[in-house]
Amino acid sequence: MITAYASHLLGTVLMAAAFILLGRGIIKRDKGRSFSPLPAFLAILGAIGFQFFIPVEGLFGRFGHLFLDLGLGMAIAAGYLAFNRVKANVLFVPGLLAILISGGVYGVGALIEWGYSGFSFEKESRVELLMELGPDDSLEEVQSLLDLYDATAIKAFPNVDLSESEDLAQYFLVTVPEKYQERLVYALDADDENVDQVAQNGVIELTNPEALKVDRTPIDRYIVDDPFVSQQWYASSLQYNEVYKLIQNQAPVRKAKVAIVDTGVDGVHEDISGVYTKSGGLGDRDKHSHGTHCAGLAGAATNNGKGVASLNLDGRFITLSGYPALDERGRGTDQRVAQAIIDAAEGGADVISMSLGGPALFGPPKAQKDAIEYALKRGAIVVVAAGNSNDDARRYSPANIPGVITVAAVDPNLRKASFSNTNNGLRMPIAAPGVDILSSTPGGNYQSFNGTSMATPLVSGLVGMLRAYNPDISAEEAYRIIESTGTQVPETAKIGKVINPLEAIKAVLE
Amino acid sequence: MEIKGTVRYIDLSGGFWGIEADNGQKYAPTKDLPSHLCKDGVRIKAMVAPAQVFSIMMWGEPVDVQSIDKI
Repeated sequence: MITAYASHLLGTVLMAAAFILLGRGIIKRDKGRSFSPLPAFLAILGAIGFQFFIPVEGLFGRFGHLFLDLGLGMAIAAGYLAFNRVKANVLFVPGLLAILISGGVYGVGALIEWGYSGFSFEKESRVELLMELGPDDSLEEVQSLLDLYDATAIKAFPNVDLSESEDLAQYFLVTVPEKYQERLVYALDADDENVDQVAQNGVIELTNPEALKVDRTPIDRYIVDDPFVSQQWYASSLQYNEVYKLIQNQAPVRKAKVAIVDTGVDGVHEDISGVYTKSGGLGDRDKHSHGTHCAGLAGAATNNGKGVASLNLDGRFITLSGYPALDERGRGTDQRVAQAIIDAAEGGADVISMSLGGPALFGPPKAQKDAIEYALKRGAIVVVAAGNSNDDARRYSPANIPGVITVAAVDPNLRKASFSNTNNGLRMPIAAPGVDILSSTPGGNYQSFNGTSMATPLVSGLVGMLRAYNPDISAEEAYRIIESTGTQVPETAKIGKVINPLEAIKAVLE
Repeated sequence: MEIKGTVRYIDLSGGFWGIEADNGQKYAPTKDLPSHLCKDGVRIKAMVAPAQVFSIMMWGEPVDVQSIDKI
């Protein structure tokens, strides 16, 4: 970085020196002495040539910088002429012109860049940097620099505070458009007062120790009789069988109501009807299949000799209800989604499960945000999907609405699913299985789907279980339990921990 | 906005048809594509407009397709 600064300064000094050489010749000529312009022109050419070794980004930046140095060189030489009482216009006017051209070139470059990022729908490529601040420094002190380069920063190790580690607690993951990466690193590196170090966040491949522990539970070891349980890899990974052994003799305080805000739920499905409470209207049928699939994952009747298994052993813990936020194509407006949330809250939902979303680059839609605030105030715990664009969930709503638990997806190896958005920039990130997930679909059918949509109701079901044992548990308390008991996986820094129902339920029973 | 791209079957949330534009951007049509275009790999050009909808797809940019043709 020091080399880069020095080369910029040297470029300007060389240019000024070359023009002063020319100025000296002009003074000689003015006084009637002989003058050869060749050395001065060679020096100017050399100074121009040196410009191309200075690290400047882009064609507009390169030529903007060249004209700026030419202008400054001429202006300094004009000053030298004026000091020697020689008419300086011969250098001053072109110098001024060069500076104006430089401004124009920079301006056009900036406009083109702004237009490209402002009007294009092409998503810019972003890269991740790892930045360490000094022990006494805060993010606010570098925020203006981050804002300047459209960068965002989050704590790299959110579970570590300053009392535990002065170093780890001061690490931040900085996300910046790739085009600004070099300039931001340059600027942060120069900020010795606040920044200890900054570098691109390198990828370290690790053997996945958790994945090695994944072991399919043979069907004959399950204490429940749902015929498809052996095809539910996630039931094995999440140790459902051990959960059943734990809770089979443990009565809940009351049943928790899990509201599926989705395409509706087939309330007469063989594996759902026994645990279903009608919400009235369109929510009790599903012309798509997505809502019914999610409902089965959150709380399909279990140990009923039919279909799939959920945590809802003997149907004693969870009651399901469907609220229609989306049409038969799986799409809905902000208003319709907000209305379904309000209806669910007013229907007494303990947990609102929302496997839906949309881009919200400029923050969440107000109606949806207000509806979720309303639901939270009425005591509901809101669980939402992170999204399927392999992007940052902060750009999606309702994933980015304060107060919600945001769910990313993992595959059977407990690695981040390739499509899953990351949720580490949000307040309550967690992960759950979301690849090849078998569950109920309308008409008494069963299908495997992929998506953060599937991971979400698995978390909703677990949170419902916590509410069933402790009806007063708040969203923050429930999250604290599922987070602290969750399984650390290689990509936990990006997607949070993977839920561990056995340990979470043990924790709420303590 | 005119785009050129390829129709893809996206196996998420139960499955749907999306468009992967040649510039790498992904578009999720808000309405079903014409059935003759619903084949993985079909090359298309289309006029699309951004749409503000929420969906189970949570994939790509939701767009209203104003016109679409096979190329």
